[in-house]
Amino acid sequence: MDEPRTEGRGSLTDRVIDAVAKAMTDVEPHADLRARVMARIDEPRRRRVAWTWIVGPVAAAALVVLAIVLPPLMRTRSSPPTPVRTMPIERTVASPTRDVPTPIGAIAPVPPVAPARHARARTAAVRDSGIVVEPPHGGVVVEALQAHEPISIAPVQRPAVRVADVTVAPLAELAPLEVEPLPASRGRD
Amino acid sequence: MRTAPSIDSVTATAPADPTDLSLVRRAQAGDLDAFGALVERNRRAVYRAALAAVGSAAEADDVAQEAFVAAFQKLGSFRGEASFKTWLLTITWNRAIDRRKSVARWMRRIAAPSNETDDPDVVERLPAAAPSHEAELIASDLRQQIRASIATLPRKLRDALLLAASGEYSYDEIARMLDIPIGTLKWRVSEARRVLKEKLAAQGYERG
Repeated sequence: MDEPRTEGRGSLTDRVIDAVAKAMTDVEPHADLRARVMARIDEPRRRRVAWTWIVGPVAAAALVVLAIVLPPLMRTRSSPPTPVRTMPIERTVASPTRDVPTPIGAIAPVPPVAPARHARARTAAVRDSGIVVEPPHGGVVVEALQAHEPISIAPVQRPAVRVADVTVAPLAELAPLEVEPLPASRGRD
Repeated sequence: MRTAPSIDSVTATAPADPTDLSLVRRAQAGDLDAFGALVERNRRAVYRAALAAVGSAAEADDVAQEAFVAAFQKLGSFRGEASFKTWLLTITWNRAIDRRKSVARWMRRIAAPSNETDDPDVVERLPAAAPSHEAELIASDLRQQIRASIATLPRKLRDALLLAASGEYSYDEIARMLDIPIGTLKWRVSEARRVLKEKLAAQGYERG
């Protein structure tokens, strides 16, 4: 290896110069340099580990919450309504709102009501099936309505009109009209 | 019956110090202790190179630390074409020059620029180390004159002289550090000495 010339060779002035130049950099580094370097190298790793310790539990908690909340929501949306369970409730709730006049200025929206003849048909079907429907959430059970007795109304009869029975009052007499004759014309000038 | 091993056989079977390259390979595989061993082996060379460039013990310490961290981060790109020490010293020198530029910029901002020297304040702040055997023999005023004269050298000559005189590096390592041919390096060292001797002669010191 080609080593630089240092003290011990060359002129006295060269040796003095080399000695002074060497002394200018002849300083030992701090003993803890290695420890500081290794600490700095390890710092990002420790940060990553700390970050993992924070994010990991949060992510796990989020998953647990989703696992609890999502299935009931999905079940509510995906399951089709069964007619036996929902129709009587719908009928009993819808009926008063249809009969009671809505106050003017009422803001609360009225739930949609099924057409009357469909509702009646469903009610009859449930009543005939004998199924007792338990209302959800401890609501009040309203019995299905009984069928109406058929109402019979006699047809309207109008009396016939005869010409002989019609009396017409005599016409009033009018006074004769008198009109004065026009004056003779005097010709043109 | 087994006999106790002789001293020679123990010496022969004792594990030799791993080479820099083997430590590098282990460090590249994630062995932090191997990199720690590399730091321990090269800390003095790195620190003194930084000191030659920035001239402040505290800043040299910072530069050395940064250089080692940067080397660790770039360790994957080390192919082993040059020695690890040379590669590390190149990183160190580049960091030190960046620091010196920022320090010089900062000094210029707070102080009036001097036309007399090429950034003399940096070298003036070089710590006065414990005098070597040779240094004890010279008068303190001559030492001061030489220090002051080195401070006035152009940077290129001063860097070459300080690195060569430190005795810590070969010409090849210095040339790679400074990214110049060895011939240019030798000329700069020689030129630095010549300029210093002229200055000393001008101040009344005889040429020896």
